[in-house]
Amino acid sequence: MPRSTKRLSGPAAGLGLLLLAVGSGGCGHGPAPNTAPPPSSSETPEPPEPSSCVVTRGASSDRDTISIALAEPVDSAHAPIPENDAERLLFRQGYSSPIRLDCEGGVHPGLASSWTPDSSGRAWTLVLGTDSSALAGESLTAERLAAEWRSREAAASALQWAGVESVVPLDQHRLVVTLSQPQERVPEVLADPALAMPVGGGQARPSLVTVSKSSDLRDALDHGADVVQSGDPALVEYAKSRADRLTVPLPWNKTYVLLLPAGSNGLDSIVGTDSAGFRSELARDAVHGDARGAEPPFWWVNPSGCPRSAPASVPAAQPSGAVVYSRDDRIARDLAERIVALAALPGITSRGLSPADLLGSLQVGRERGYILALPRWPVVPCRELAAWPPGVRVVPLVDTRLTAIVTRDLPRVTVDWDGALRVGGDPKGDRR
Amino acid sequence: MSFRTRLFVAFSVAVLIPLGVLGFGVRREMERRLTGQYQRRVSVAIQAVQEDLAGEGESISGRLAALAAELEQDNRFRLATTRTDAADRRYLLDYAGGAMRLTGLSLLQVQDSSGRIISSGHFRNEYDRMEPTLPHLLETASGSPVLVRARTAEGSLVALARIDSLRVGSARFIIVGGVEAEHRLLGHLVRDPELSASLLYPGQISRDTSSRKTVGALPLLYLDLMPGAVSRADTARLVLTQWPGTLVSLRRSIDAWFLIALAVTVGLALLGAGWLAARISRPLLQLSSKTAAIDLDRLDQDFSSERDDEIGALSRLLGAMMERLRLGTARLREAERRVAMGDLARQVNHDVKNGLVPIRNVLRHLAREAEQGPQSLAAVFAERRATLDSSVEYLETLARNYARLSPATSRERCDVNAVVGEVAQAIHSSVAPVRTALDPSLPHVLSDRLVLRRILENLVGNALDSLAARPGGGVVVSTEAFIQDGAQAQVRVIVADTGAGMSRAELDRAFEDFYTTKEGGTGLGLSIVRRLVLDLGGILRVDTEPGAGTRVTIELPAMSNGAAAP
Repeated sequence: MPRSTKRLSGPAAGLGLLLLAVGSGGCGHGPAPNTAPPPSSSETPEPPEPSSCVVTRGASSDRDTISIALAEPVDSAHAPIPENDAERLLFRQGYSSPIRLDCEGGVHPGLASSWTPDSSGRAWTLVLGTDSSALAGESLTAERLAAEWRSREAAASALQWAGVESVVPLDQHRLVVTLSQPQERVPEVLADPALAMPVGGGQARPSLVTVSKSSDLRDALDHGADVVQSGDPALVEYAKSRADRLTVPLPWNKTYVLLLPAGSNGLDSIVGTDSAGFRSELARDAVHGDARGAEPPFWWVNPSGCPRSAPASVPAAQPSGAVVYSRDDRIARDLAERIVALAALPGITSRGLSPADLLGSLQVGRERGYILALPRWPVVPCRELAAWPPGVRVVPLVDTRLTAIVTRDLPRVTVDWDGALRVGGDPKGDRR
Repeated sequence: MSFRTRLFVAFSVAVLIPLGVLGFGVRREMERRLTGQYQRRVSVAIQAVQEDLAGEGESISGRLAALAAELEQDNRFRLATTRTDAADRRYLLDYAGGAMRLTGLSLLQVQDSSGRIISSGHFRNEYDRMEPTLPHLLETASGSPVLVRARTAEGSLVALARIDSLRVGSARFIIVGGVEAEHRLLGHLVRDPELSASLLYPGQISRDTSSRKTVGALPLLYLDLMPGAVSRADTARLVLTQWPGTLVSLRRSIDAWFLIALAVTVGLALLGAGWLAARISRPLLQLSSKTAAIDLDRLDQDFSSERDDEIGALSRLLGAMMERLRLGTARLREAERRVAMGDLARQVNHDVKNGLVPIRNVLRHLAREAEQGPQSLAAVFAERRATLDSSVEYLETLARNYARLSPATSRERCDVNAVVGEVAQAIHSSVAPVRTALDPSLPHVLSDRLVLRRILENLVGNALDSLAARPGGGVVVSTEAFIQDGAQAQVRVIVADTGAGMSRAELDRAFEDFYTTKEGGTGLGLSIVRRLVLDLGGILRVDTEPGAGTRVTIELPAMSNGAAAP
């Protein structure tokens, strides 16, 4: 298997097979010399990786490549911000944010090898690791990182919604992030993909080999894919039947909700059944995947630090009769159809929209209801809330999760805060 | 209407009427046959649609029967209907979707005996709904086609539905399956591309009546299961419409070709008629023109023709007629001459006798005196000498006058303008002035100068005489050159006066010898003038009106520039 340096150059529709060179494996290329100053005693110590976030601990293996099968279309133009699970899995291997949050919220080094607050808790100094590199293999400096964030609209938006007042580079390796409000913990926005940069050097460098669109993920398993993530029960059932595969349910990472814009009516009977039992029935019967009734706490209830939304107002045009969803999201479609079936009222239907159309429609609230997949724990909740129309009612429906299917002799695979698998990486945190 | 127009009309009618009759007959016969053919096709198509509907129903029934047999043997289905395990329930919920795709159906429901949907393929999430009306209707339809408007997540679905049932343990389950009717079923029910099928639901009026013709309708049982609809059986209609496009296009094609043929034929007919009319009417016009130019003084028209058709015969006939006219005219002129000579002889005889009578009387008187008194002979002679002189003078005058009737001419190059000028100067009249309007580029003529002068003196004199009764008028002598019919150049001399003019009767006799209206006139002036003009090869024309004056026109052949006098 060649050590590829080929980047994703365009949309990779359908099923894909990702070949990943593992930097920490026995490939003969060790990490670059660490020239960064050692963390001071005042720096936040890196917690050990909780076992719930480790899919496989990296059993003894001399493999230097692994392959990842993708079930959804991938467009490299979206990087580093994923728009579906396949892009999330792929971009997580090639991009790194300043810090990394594991599936239980533990903070781990990313681009930053350490971070320290000042006495007020508002100014956080990040020290960049020297084994990180930016585009074209150049070493990533604090100045360049700050400039990159300023130039990216998504990064600037994330920092703004997270209450970051300024980002000032101190020297080549140090960066000061100043918050509007003091925080005891390093700002979680630093784990947001919008702030991620491409990584190289000692990090893994992915390459992609596409396979036929008509193949399904079972074919990928049969052809030796090392890592597959899916919510399809049939695929999980098939993987369980294979002795060389390990199936690990990932943490619940999405909550599907029904958003009812102000003025929407006709679904009151559905909203009235907002109960744990109703949500459990939905998860059991309506969703074609691994789901449970949505469980509180819900982050959108009384979010702190977010600007108040405008008072509810009735839209100029009454919402239409459709419950809409992202047409690429099977679970959202199942939920929308069940709600329409339960409503059983003339004129109420369901309709799939493209992600862009769904977002545009949501901002003006012109449909009767919206089925949305929200992150279970967003790192910038205020940014999520800003996309909703004022006066919206949120009805939580189900939580969902994916299942990781990996080969048993795979090196280390961990799970991030958003349910994304991270292949390879430094196991030191786990060893602590 | 001209001959050419009549020829056009005759040609057109002769062509258009048969062609129109032919086109109408062809079109009518073709329409009759095509209509009959279409009706047979429609009948066959309707029958085929009925058979296809029945066949499609049988096909659905067969698939449902296979599903029922399979379900009776399906242990997971049996467990799902008897237990409450979540995995078994999911199998039940997803069963209809998979089975629907597998069997190629568009609608599939599994209901329990109470009418509760336990699995739905076309709308997976509509389970647990009660829908007892549908199986009841399908059971009572006893195999007849039934249309069902069922609910889907994104709207509705109209399907041709059938029913089957199975028994698992003590429980009875009903399977309702169907094929989408509006597009999938209707699309292949009608194979004739000119026919189409559409569904008209209860209370619905045909949507497209503008261009399509309804050729048949099949009643179908119909049940609307949409929310808010009344769940009772009604009747929809499968309407077959025909697009008469081929027939219409065939008619249009025939009409177009007929019109093209008509236009070409009419064009050719008009061209032919024009050519024929030109071939006939042009020689006729030429003959007409030549005939119009025939005059007793111009009997030189050439009617010879090489044509061997009727035009040639007519031309030769006219030539022969003109030859006869020429001979007749010659004879007439000879007779006239002879009559004139006789008259002249009688006149001369009379005049001479009149002149000789006094002389004879004087001679008899002298002879008697010589016998009876010779001494008085001298006195008597002297007495009667005046009578002798008078008689002799009368005879001399008479001789001069008669000499004028046949003057000897000598042809020479002659300037008409100069002669006109001489005459105008020579004649000094106290009655009116003689004015001239002369063409300076007037060519010479071949003439006797004295003859020309005599002509002009006579005409100017007559003009002045006519002014005696109408003082204040005038005489104008004008000359001009012209070319007649592209042939030889001509010289025209016009003597016009504003005198008394002549009546028609006077004009008719004006050229007779010895006819005069003037006291003391000889009655030979115009007669001599006419004769002199004809002798010069010219023509003379008189336009006159009583009280308005007279205009005498003389046209003489001009000499060409290179011509020499004989």
